Amino acid sequence: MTTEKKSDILISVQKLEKHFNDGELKALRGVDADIHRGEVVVVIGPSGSGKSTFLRCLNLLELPTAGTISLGGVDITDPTVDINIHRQKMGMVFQHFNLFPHMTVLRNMTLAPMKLLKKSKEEAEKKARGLLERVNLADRADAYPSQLSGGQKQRIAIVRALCMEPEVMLFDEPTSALDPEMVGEVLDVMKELARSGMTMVCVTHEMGFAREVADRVLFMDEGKIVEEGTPAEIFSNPKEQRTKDFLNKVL
Amino acid sequence: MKKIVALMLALMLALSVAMAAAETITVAFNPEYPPFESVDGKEYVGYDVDLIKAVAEKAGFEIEFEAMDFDAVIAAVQTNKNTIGVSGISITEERKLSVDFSDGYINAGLIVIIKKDSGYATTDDLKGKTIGVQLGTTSDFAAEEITGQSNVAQYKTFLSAIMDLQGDKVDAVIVDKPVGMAILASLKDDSLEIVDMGLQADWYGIEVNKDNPELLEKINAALKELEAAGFYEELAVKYFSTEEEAKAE
Amino acid sequence: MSIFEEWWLPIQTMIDNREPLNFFQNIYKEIYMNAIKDDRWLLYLDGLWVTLQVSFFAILAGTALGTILAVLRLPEVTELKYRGTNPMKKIGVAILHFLSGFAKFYIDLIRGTPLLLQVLIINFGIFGSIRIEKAIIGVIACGLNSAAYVAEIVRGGIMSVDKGQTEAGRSLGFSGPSTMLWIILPQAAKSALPSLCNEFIALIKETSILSYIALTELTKAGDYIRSRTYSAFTPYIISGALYLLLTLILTKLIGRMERRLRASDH
Repeated sequence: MTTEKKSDILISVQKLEKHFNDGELKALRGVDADIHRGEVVVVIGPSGSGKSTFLRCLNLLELPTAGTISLGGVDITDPTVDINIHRQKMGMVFQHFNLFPHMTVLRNMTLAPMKLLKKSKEEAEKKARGLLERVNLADRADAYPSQLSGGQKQRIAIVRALCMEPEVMLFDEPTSALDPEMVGEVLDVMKELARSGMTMVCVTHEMGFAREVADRVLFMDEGKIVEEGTPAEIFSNPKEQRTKDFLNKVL
Repeated sequence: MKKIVALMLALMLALSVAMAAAETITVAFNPEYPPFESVDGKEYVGYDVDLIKAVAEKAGFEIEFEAMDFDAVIAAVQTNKNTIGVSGISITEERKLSVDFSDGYINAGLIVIIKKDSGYATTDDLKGKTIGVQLGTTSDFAAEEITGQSNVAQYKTFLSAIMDLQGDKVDAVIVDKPVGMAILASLKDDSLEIVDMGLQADWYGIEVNKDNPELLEKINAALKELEAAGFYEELAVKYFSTEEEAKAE
Repeated sequence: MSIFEEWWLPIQTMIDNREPLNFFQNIYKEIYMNAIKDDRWLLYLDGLWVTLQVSFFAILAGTALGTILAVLRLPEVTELKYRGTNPMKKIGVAILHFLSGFAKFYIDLIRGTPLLLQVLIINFGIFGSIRIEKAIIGVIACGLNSAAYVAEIVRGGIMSVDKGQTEAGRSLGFSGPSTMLWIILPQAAKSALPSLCNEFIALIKETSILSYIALTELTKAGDYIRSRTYSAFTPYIISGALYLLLTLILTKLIGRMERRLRASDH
């Protein structure tokens, strides 16, 4: 383990429920979880288990049906709270990258800091170029997303989120849409990020990554967290039958 | 077989002869200009309508009326040898380069319609003011002389000009005297009044295609006969309520 | 006497004497009467200038209003719910819903009635007793009309942008309207541009209807000269050529804009 677990709680999720189609489909059925500062949490589970919904609820891209989510002690599900301010503190990386195709890489990265954090162009670009350096893409600053490979796109998406200096990074299956030979370069960036002490919540199918980097693994099924523990506990010694069945299938 | 062909040929010959004999002239006009021409129920009525009917009878041709926009009359006459324009059309030198005109049959005079409270009395008062007219009418030419081309608002129908006068978008409207009288009588708008500023109008003539001088001659001959018989005065009495001034001179 | 008049005089004499003109004399007669005499070509240019101005401002107004209408018709607005208790925000959402309903009504109304009627109603009805420049009435009428068409084009453009783009914008902390402005609309504009170009061209040509309210734009300039010369077609051909010139220039400009926007998808 390269990061040490800190005790203070950054995100606290309580009794989280999410229903679709007027309750016909219950994606989340009462999820409780705490994410600590500096912690890397990996969420695994079969498809349809609600893990992506859980992640998307954390920054209210999906509006929870019931339950509370607090970020740094503030209940962000309270409708009087300005969610936009709080989303700035939660970077998100999507399966399909979602880079802005009409902007260069640099503009993709500087738009939000300039518009939302009121940074000067120079300041924002300096920060962006530094981050591009970190992910070895400094030479692509003026390229458009369509000129990049999938792996490059996802690395850009990660540093775009980092430009906002978030307190936590949410990853929604970041390698699922990539060709196999590009998965490594994205995971390397995520590992480096984890080593730097960033709080991370990752929904992924990369069990190797989970085993190597995670401080804690949550196993979800049917809208609930079935089991949680260190990678060692979950992967080597799962307690629940459902966890065992799942791991048997994917490992 | 031969018999049938011969029969058909004969039939076609007979038909074409018949068509030539009952020569039908199309009268292109814009029946939105009472009392010169308008629609009453399904009938076309007015000074021009009665006149061309009388002319056709005298000259011996059939007519059929075809209603259209005022500025479409020009093209209709120029593109069809057997179409004539009878729609309160001013005879001008320039137009004579493109079409032939019959002898003038009426010069009804022009009047100015204004808002009562504006108090305009002479053409000098209207200098630089916006004057509404129907495009291409004798009123249009008169207005241009008074206030300059860029100050004349030319409408497709003079009724639009009157509406914009009521709405204060133009300062005055110039129109043929009988037309102005008729519209004010039917509008009953007390804020408007008619002023006679002694404007010179053009004569109205029947527009004939340049390639049909025979028809032009026939029409002119008929007009002469009708004038001699006092038909113009008859029409003036029938259509212009204030007959004295509106009479053809 | 100018060279043009020197060429003209013998032709005039021929016409007066009812001598037939040959092909070239006929053409010169048409050109002389409809463009050269009394500097009439200037009238076409004046008309062109009015058409250009009215079209330009109508396109601006129509695009701005149309974009607003398009946004009002989006599901993000029609399905907007406010869960809080702030009465001001509750009223705000209610107003948005009302505006959204109005936008739909407006688009249906405008698209379902002829432009000519709208122009006449605006001139003789709404501004019936207000003294106001005909050109401004023209801009208002054509702008209001164009907005309804632009709205549907822009709405289509917005719907064609991937939902992930909105999510990416929101996840960075942009508000709904900012996401729309910085991220969605620029992409929507790109996919809507060809249809918008069509609409702008249509609008330029439709301004000819303003001759009905006595605005001396390009068609009216032709009508005016025609009412003097009684040439059946020549003024229309000259006006038509100038419209064509205008729309070709616009097409070229928009083509260039499209190419610039396409710089991002090599």
